[in-house]
Amino acid sequence: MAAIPGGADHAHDHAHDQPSGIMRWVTTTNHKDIGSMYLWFSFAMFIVGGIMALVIRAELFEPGLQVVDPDRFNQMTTLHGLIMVFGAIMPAFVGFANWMIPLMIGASDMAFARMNNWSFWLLPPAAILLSTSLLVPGGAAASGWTLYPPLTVQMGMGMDMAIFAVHILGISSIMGSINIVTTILNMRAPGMTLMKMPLFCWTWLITAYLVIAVMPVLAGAVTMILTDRHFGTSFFNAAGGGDPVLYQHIFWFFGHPEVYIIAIPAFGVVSQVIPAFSRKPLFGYASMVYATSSIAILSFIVWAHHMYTVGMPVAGQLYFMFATMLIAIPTGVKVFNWVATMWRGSLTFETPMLFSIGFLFLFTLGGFSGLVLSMTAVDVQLHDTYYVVAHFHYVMVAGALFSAYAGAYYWLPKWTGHMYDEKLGKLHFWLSIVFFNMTFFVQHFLGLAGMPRRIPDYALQFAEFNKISSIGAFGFGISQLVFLVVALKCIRGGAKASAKPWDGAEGLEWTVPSPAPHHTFETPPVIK
Amino acid sequence: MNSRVTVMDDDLRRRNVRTALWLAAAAVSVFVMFLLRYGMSGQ
Repeated sequence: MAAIPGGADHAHDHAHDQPSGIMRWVTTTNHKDIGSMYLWFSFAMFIVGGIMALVIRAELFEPGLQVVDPDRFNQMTTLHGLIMVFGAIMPAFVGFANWMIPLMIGASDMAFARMNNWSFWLLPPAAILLSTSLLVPGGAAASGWTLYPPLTVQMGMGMDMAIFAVHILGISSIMGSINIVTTILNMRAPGMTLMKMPLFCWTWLITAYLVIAVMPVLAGAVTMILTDRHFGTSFFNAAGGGDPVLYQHIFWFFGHPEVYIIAIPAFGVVSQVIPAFSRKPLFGYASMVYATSSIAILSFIVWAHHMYTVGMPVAGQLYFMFATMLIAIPTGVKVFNWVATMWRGSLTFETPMLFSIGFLFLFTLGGFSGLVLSMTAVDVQLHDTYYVVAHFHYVMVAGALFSAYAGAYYWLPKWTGHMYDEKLGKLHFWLSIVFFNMTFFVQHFLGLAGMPRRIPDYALQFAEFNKISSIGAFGFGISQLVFLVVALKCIRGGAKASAKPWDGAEGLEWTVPSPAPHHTFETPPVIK
Repeated sequence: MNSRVTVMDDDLRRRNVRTALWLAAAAVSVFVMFLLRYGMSGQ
């Protein structure tokens, strides 16, 4: 892509009569400020959710009850899931979107700058609601992040707080997605056709449509739980003529696309990083766009593979099994394209590339265990075991989180104007990949041996693998602090980063100075 | 709120608002369809 970089000439770094101090951040409408806030918020939530994970792993270190009572244990698994999905991973990628989409398409800001501010500032109240629900009588929601009734109809006020938090988070995501779609559709620089956009923008365009389509479904589902709890309805109460399985259908109609809402932007980040460090254009750009769209469309028609055990006709089981397996095809296209991009490239292995390759290996492994679980006959055996826990952590952690780290290391020089500490970055990667596998690989064996998930105590034969997994979890948790050190060091100083610190990187974001000035592309660049 | 939002011409602003309204209408209609579908199912 060749650009006449009008944007760099028109970039400036003075913020016009902008408040300073805390009010700068409260009132900011700048996409870079808001992107930074999203990223810091998500990291803070990652730590909070991570601490909950460590409570879970501490309890599971050995059989018996040691650290928390069973009810608190269930609250931990629930809040860990909700916080990681809605508070950590989703906002992290919205942070990337805020920072990078306007820079990548040559827009001066997001389409709705004030709504962007509001989208972000809805998050902290929701996070406070979720976290403080631990303190109310009866404690937090303790149903698992899926919030299945009839349990959720019976719980205390912590459940109402979780429902309210989910509503707020949903509104925030929908507003953020409307902003992203509008920005991408209407504000691309002249000459930047859709098929010339960086793949990260494509993945976010598709993701934003998914969010707009399925978040209201979740909002509807939790609203129905709320009315069952307080307004005398019986949507999910069998005693009143309702059906708890209905909730599972509704939840997973949201829940499966949600998996891709998390994974697709991760694909986008990796699709930026791998070409840069292979010094080759992305292999099969158009097929990547079509594969991503296919994954998004298929994600709507496979939801009941999460609920094979509820008692479904064989025809239904077969349909959902084969539909689920179909997803492997576009996903395979993507994986092969990433590998083909690296093929005969001038590869170097800086931290972003390491995390991307880690993603490639481990996400593919998570995909394979997903294929195993897609088979009804197998899933009936493995449902609600640690095999499932292992599978989705390979997708969520090694998939989404590793890709988020790849993106963070890749764009840190653009954000801060400094190069990060490469040695510490690599240390972070190697510690993460070793401890990640130590934590989650053994959980496959636990699941295959029959250990159920969401229980604080277990039979003696599961003790060794649980011990290994818990040690791995603490190692993984502590290694994430290395990233905090790297990020803070990079913000405070370090070697100056040039406008394009990675020689293989392509795109408009590398035509503006590092750190990116407060205002960029006020005159749109022209793409040839 | 910060008084300075990046300058945008009126045509683009209108186009953005139109796009956003379509998207918001889509989201709201999914939610309303839900309430109608299940709200009217004899609950």
